[in-house]
Amino acid sequence: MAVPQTDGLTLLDITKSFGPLEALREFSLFVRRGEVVALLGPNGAGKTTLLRVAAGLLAPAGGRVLVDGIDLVQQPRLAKRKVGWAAETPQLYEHLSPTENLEFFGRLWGMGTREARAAAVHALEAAGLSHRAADSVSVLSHGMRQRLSIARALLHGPSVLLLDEPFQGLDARARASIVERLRDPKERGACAVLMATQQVDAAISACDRAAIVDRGRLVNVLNAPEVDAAALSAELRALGGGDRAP
Amino acid sequence: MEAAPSAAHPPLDFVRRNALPFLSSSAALTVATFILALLWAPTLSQGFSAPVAQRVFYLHFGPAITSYAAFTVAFAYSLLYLRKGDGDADLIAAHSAALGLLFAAMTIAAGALWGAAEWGVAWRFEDARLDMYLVLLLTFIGYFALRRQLGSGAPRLAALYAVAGYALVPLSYFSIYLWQSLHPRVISPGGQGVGAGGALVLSVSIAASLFLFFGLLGLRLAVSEVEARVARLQREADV
Amino acid sequence: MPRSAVLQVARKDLLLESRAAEQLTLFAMLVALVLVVFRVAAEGRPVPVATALWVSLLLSASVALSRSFHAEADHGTLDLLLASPAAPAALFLGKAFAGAAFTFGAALFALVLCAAFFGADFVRDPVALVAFLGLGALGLSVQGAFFSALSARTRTRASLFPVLMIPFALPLFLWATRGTVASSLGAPLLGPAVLADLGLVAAYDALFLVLYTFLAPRALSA
Repeated sequence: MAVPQTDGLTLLDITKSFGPLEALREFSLFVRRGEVVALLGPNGAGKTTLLRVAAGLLAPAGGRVLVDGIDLVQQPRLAKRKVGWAAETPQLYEHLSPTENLEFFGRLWGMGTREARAAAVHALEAAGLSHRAADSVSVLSHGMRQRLSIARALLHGPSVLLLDEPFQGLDARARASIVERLRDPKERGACAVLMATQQVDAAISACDRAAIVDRGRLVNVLNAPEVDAAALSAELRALGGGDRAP
Repeated sequence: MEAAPSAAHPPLDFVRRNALPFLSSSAALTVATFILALLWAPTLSQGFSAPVAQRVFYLHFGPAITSYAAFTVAFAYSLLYLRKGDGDADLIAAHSAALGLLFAAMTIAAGALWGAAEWGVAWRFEDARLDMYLVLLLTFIGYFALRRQLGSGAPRLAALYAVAGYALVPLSYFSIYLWQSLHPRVISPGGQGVGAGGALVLSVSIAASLFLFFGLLGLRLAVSEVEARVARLQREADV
Repeated sequence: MPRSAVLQVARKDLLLESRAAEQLTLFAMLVALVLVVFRVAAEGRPVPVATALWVSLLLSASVALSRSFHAEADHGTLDLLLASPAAPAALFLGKAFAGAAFTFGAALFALVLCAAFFGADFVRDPVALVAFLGLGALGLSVQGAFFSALSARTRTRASLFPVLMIPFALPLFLWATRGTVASSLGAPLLGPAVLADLGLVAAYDALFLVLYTFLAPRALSA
């Protein structure tokens, strides 16, 4: 990949170490707008580290991250406006309601007060949480919080959506609901989705391509329709050999 | 061969290579300071209730200035670390901060002797300069508490703390002007001065302390170099 | 954008505190406990009320203000704030200003308790007293927000925070106590004794507000 693309997410030769541990080694991947790419790999492969680099939380030791052609290190504020990120654990203020959470983060991402309010209403409707809009987040189930977390990441209409283990701790129905949202272009807008997960079945259902990661390197990229989920699961189990990375 | 931490910093490399000469010179200058201060320096009688004990000033001022110098080195190398991520700069900052604490302790010990003679008590908490110096001491003790508690994140956070803490150094030094202070003024404006003889003794005292600082810093850098070599050999042996 | 982010963060913290009352509860309990200790230890002897007031504020702030960024780290929202387009300096300032409001609230509570335990004679000049409490609260909060940010990602952050913060808060404590004592003895607000100390507190606040605004982004980065 010699030429950076000007839409979607471009990861060019990303290198990141934590002391002597090489978490990412010259990792390159392009995710265009409207596409869903799943990052699959064993524990410690570097999936979460890659997402944190793409979200601007970790500075890469080498390489570049481009969001719609904007360099994340050179112009962080401009690039971050275009990124939505949901971590493995839902990042929400427990004592605020879903509406208050969404309005706060909407305003933090540069939306005006009215715009954030309207976006929050729409987002809660899309996530099926309108009936819990005024409740405290602390009383919501894990599945609801996960849906709310994804809604929060999509609120400002990002160009790039980063999801870390979106299916973690969810039952089959909740997983299916998220897969449906990811597959529906109207729901997630025209954004480039990069998703790290260990749930191979759900990933293959939701994504267009699957990027296999092992020991910080991109091992393979597969087209999802051609993938045998069972065979892929077996292959992933054979990789790695123990937990690595922070 | 593993490069010494000071290799990329020529002035400090000079200090490391000449640690023993600095230490021996310091020993000689310290003996000279004691002799000159106790037997030769003029007695300053104005404004002191214990003019003979006032001679402790010559043993007190050198370490005080050196402690400020050491904290300044720690500040400068902490800034360098924050700008360039140079691990050696962090090491130098830590060594300097530790020596700053040593010289601060020496300053307080000499000051306590003087205070006991002059005021009847070793310390007066109502004095601004003493309080600010104590705050500075506590700050750099906090620096090491931070380093001890942290693992790999220690250098960056410790460097930030040292940079923030350095803002207290001018506060400490200029405290006699910011407040009414009981601390004696000798060479500060408003003080009686020490004359030519006293200035000579003061110079010898400052030189003794600074040479001791350079010598100890050089020793610590040399030890760090050996530790780095041992670590590299251990890593190679493990492989 | 930076000013907006400062306001958004401060407003969010105030809203959260109105629901959870995490910092205010800590403040109130610790202020009360410290003042009770002073009252009990006095055994009927006169107590330096201004000293008791500021000791209670310093010690309670050295615990309560740690929650500024530690709570964000606990709830996983710290990374989300840093992933936002908001400048880290804006996050720090928003936290500092919100914390100043909580600390000032605690200060007023401490004032009421001091009056209840020791009598209200020390309140000779309410304007001077409120000025010291206001500027002192801001100063404590600025220190608290910075060291909370600095220690947020450490394992032993709760125990480390007071060790880091208290030395930096001591000069404020000294000047505020001295100024409050002078005021309680009848020195006028615009007189040299009180005004000098008020000026020192204000200058210290300004110095570290500016310094920490530059240092906070590095303190918050992972």
